[in-house]
Amino acid sequence: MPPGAATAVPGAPPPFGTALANNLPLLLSGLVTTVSLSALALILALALGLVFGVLRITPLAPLRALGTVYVEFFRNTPLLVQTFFAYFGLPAVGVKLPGFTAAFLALGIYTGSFVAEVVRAGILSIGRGQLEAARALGLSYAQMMRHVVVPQAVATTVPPLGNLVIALVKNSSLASTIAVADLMYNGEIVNSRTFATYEIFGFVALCYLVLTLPMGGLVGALEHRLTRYRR
Amino acid sequence: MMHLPRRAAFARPVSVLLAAALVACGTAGGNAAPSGLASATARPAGTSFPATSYMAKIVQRGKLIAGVKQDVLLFGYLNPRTNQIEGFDIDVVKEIAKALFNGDASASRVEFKPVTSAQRIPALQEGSVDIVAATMTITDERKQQIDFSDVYYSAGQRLLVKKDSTATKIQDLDKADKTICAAKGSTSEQNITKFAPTAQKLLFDGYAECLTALQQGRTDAISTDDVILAGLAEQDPNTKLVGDKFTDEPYGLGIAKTSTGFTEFVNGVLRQIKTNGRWKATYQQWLGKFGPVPEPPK
Repeated sequence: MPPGAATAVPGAPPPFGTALANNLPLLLSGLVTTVSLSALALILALALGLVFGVLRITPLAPLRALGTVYVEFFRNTPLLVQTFFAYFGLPAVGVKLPGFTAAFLALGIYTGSFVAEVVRAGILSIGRGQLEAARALGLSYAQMMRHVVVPQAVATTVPPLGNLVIALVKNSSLASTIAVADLMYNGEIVNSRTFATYEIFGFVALCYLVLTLPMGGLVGALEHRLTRYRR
Repeated sequence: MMHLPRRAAFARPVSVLLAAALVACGTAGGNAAPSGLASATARPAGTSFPATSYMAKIVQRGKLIAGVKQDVLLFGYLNPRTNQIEGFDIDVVKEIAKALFNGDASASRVEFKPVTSAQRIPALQEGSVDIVAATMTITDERKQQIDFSDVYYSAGQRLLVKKDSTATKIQDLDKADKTICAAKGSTSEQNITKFAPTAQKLLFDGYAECLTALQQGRTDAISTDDVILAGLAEQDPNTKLVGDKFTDEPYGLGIAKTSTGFTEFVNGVLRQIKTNGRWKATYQQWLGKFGPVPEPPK
């Protein structure tokens, strides 16, 4: 071979980055699926969490029981089991969900149980004095929650909620076990084709980081703004 | 004699052995008419193995030790009811043991050691097994580490569909509205892309999930080695294997490179069972319900 000859040596592995460059479209489409899956699951989780969190502390015992059952069941069973159940188990009762739907429902309901606990803790963190003052002013229970408790509770709940959002984005990778073409699934496919494990999974990890790091930053900024009145 | 290369030095005792075997009374109840080496009615009497050959070592020990799978339905599977490992690979090993011990087919002449795919070659190299019969495909890479017998089973990729499906080959499913299931990252998956490029693919971590998906109508077919498909079909009688093999996975028995003369002996036994009907009978027993019995591989 003449000195300074071109790079491609037959039999040698391709230069670092080739596998990634050749398969970027597939990986990016996986990223888009992960983002949409996470976003939908997050909306569901926040909605369910808020509802069941408040249910857990209502004066009415049956509603409290309902809240407790939801939280204890979905918080204490593995997300993987819930995902498999949503996809492979439900058809036994006649409900056949497509992969994406099963994945975001399982993820949303699972995370919702954690959000409920965070919401509950946030509300309980409001001093008794606030509640008594609200009652003294003649506010109904609903008005008290809406105007006094929830706005203050939000400041306490934002950091733990931020953690839950980060966890949700990472947990979305479990959708790959029920054939949802998310980032992890496509990453595995490309890896099996190219065996360029470092490149491919390095890129996958980087993508998850790009999704979660700003979340941490956003949470910090929000917390800063919401607790202004305390400083 | 001194100038013969090593290979010929082994070939001579083996061919003498085979000639002696042809003359001796071989099959139980039959008489061996000398019919030439080509028909290979090789049934060496135990005592006439050359002292340096690996077969003598096995005979001296009193039993053959074989590395087998115990989790591959129909090939090497531990039957929970009888607590015995059974299957196509097992039966082939039993034939070899029978040949080693002069027609003695009793269970004490073979010991089956379960091995995984990862362990099967090291087990041979360490000498903890005499032979490996574990759904092992012959590849050049593996030939560098161990010896292989002749092909004893020709596996290949096929299709598993529901009983009422009209598909008869993989090309029937090469449409955008059809789905085929396989394991993530397997060569089966890559072959589906090659042979049915427009079909949708559904990929899971294992074939159990694929079978569930087929049952739930989430996929039209599963495609992988016929060995695995047969195991799935065994579990779900509402499925059927269709299509000819569209890839080739030749299975061979693994033998350590240091086992003097053993590979030739095993090949002799294989030739014998391929011509005397034992191979076909074994195929019929384990795989007969999935399709007609083919000719034995060369």
